[in-house]
Amino acid sequence: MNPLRAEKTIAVFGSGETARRLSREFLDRGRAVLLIMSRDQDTGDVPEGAECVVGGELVSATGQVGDFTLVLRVAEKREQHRVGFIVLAYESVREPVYDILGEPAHERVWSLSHLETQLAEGVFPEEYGKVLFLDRLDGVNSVAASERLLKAVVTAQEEHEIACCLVTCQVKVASPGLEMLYGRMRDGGCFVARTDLLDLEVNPGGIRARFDDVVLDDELSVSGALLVVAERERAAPELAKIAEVLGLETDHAGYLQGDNLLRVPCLTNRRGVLVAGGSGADLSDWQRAQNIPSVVEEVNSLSQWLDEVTPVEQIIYDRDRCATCLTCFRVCPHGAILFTDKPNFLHLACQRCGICTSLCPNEAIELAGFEKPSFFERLFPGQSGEKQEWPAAVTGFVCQRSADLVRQYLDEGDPVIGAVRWIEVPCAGALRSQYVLETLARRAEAGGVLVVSCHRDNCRSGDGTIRAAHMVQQVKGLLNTLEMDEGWVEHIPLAPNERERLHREVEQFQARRKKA
Amino acid sequence: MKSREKVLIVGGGIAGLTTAIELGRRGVSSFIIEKKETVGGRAGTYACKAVNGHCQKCGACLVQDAIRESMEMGEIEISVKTSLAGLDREGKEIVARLKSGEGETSVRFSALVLCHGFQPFDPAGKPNYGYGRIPNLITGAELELMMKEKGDVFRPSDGKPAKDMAFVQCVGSRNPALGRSYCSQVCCGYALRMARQIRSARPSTSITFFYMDVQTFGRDFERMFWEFRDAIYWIREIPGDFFAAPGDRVGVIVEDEGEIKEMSFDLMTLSVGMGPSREQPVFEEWLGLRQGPEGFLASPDRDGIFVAGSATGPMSIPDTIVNCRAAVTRVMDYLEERS
Repeated sequence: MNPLRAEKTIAVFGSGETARRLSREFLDRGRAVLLIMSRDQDTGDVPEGAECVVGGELVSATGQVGDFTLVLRVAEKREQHRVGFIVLAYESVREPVYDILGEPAHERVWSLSHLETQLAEGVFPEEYGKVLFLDRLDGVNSVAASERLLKAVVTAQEEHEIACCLVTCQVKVASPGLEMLYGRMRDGGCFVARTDLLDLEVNPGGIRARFDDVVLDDELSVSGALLVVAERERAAPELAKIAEVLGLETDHAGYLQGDNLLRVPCLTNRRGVLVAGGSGADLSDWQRAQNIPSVVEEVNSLSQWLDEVTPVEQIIYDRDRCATCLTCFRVCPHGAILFTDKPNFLHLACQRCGICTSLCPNEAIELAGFEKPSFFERLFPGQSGEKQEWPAAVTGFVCQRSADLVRQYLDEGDPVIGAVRWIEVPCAGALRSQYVLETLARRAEAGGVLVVSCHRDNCRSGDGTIRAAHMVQQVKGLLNTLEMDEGWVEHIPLAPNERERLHREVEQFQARRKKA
Repeated sequence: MKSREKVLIVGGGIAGLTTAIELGRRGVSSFIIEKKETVGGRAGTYACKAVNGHCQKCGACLVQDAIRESMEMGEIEISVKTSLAGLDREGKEIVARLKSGEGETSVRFSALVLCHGFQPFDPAGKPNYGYGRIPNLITGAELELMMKEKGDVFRPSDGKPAKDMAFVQCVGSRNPALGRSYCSQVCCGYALRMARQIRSARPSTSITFFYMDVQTFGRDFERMFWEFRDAIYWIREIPGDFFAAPGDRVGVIVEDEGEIKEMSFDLMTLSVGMGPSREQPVFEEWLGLRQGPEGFLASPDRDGIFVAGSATGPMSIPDTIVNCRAAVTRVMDYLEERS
């Protein structure tokens, strides 16, 4: 087969600093860039050589890594573009934390963004000689938000000789350089008050804040001519729509890495769709800066992979059995299934979790190398369906990520782990309930079934763990209905560094089964 | 596209492994030297901090993933129980004298990435902590190991479960008197995650935190903090002196709610911070490297010499991965320019 070549163009979504810097990096490395900016964004500083679409809304994206087709709606017209990679580089949205004031903005109450603009333009009015900075007081202010606040105080002090006072709850300095910035702020004469409750008076003449300082353990009051309110960062509004069109996981705050560390720094659940800036998570400046080369590197690595890879069919599809129910399309965590009149499997996008095969109601699809006959041969060696003897042992289905731990114990000849028949599965989510039930039915006296998966939010396939847990619950429910002991099957969520725990859990399971 | 370049990576922790894997993905071979018997480094000894099957995003398991991936990658060669006896530049090459059980050899490389990591603060160096003198006073790393190997928390003195325990934050961090004025960035994270895990396993355990500022410790910090904040007794003070109290308890005198109190605990954990590696001065001397503002190494990013991971400053496991991937881009740029 011919080597694949990635499309040269990279689609970069966003109009902030990260999108521009990334575009320049790609252009410098000889790639073409399609920069897709939201409407009403400043387009003054478009990197030279980038094709720019202003006000482009993503309508659909088909294809897979190396060759995506994007349909954009631009001013009521549709445009089609072919790109090799998609980089989402939206910045987070900043929102002043006015709610702690209990009242809306006042002319002597500024948002941090407004102050930053004024400081940058050097038009800070002299009558605002003393400024109070008000941070979030709930203790959950992020490093990114704190960083901006500290920088603004230092700039105000050092470049504009403004007297400053910071009212905060927790000073967040857990990012490179922040403790030094904090030190500079203190050295510059900034008074830092730590409190979680505030009584604030905003008058035309000035601002007065009264509070209990938790460190000095005293009631204090500070006043200033101006109050600057910190900002919290929120996921950009574009992210929700993009996530829907591209089928990306989102976390509780709407960012696109689904709270899953396996996607750090710039991956999403779809191969070739990358995140930077404030698109993946709420990151500090340092993290954002580190992410830019990381995205470039990921594109380089994937391009190289595409140059060398020989695409193989990952999914074996039986059209006659397919009921076109769309289940596989719906559950695929990696956007690897395109549905026309039938499912089309995108083999470069497939990450071989097998979740689609375990949930297909008609067994119309199989994961290559994990087909039912060969799997059953492994599960029930030398049998053609009838009950036969095989060693009396607990059967343990273990996901590939944790299988290494099992192998280590087996190499050491550990009796506890060795007393289990271990069957590796690509992902615990690939396990059909039927396999567990068949195992129990054929060898009930053998002692039960263990399903070892990753922890929730720490699964390469995103929701493989949830699927596995659900499947085990289903089997337990069925056992209950049949008035059998639901303890025949157990689910063990495990991280690949929990070697000792694997041993303990298996030992406890065996002890429980012996007792039962 | 196989490259003939070979990069020397010093240190087989999460930084060295990540760097090697990312170089390998670009077809560049690397040679990792690790002075210990196994790879994985310090982070390889940390416990998984999942609570009820739910990941808490500490990143400790990523080390195991990286070990497996590096073993499977043909581009990576690992030499354990090997140390450096010297480093030099000759033209466009790095000449390294490697010392192992088989003696000393001199090998040429295209580039060098120092991933020698950090040194945890040693509280024994500051007698008022009483570490090593007072029973049941341990470090965060020791608590990690206990949780990893035993899955539970005991008092080292008698093996009994700890009914009440305390964490002392910022030990060896944010303290200019110790020459460590920086925040170590990871201690709030590991201490709070372990506290949460302990509470989940033994809900009756009482947990006290002595702290300055709670540092944001993960992507879902906000949610976790709200869920967990009230489960902990917070005292905003770092105790200065520790003493052995009756019943092998650890005592402190602190001011709490306006009163000076004597408090004691079954088990006390010092959340020690990160400092520069003991090997750092040698690298500074051999290669004329400079320190960054926090006393760790600044990566020169030129002449084929790079520094990545916690050798450049305190950072978490996920941040180390981010930092090393960024370093690989610079290494690749250098290799392309060089050839």
